[in-house]
Amino acid sequence: MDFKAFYFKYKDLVYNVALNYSANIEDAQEITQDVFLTLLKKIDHFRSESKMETWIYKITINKSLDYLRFKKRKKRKFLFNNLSIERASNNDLINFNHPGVQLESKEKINEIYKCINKLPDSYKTVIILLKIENRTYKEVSSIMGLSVKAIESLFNRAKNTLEIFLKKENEY
Amino acid sequence: MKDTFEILSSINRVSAPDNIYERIITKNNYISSSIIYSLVMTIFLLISLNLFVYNQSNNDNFSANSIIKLPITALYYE
Repeated sequence: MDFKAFYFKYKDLVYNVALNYSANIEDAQEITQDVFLTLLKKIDHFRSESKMETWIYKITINKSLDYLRFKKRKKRKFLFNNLSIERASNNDLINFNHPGVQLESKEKINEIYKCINKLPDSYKTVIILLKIENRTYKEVSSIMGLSVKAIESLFNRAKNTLEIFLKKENEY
Repeated sequence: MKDTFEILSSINRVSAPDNIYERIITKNNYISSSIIYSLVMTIFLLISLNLFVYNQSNNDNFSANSIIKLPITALYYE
């Protein structure tokens, strides 16, 4: 299989999903790199039971979540060694660098992302896939390996939790 | 929440930068330093072992080299 053609066909999909998780250009590039290195190794083992796009989504989401967990551990270690909480919270704003966000919405979206980042992985994923990636419930159910009903229920719980976090954020 | 999701859906899709492909190919061809180190150590050990065996064979009185150096008269049987 021609890897170059494969890369150019799916690079935007992978990069945008990575961006929607990390909200940061450098992190998204790292994640994209890791995803394609994995795809390069596993492409011959791909079973055509699911669509190629669904498979790529699954790998990208897993790599993005792994990367975010790695960053959180690194940040915790850094805080423990060096900084105060106040400077750490300023780092959140500095790290937010999503090129798809218009300037007038940047502050508001950064606030929303701070709350999305606090959500459990499954809640985060369902919100990103439905509301930022604009996938249908059927597509999200294939990607996450759950029924459509389960996705609807998961989304409702995620929405309610996000609402609580946003209210708390606005109180400060 | 409707406003929140409307704002999120306003996020535009962007094109991936061109340099990522080169980085992927470079990283895929990269041989890790630990593999290189292991290869160098293996070659070094093999050379050292060969030198040691060669020196041992030169020092040994009953080696084949010593027999060759004996005077020819010592090998005659009557």
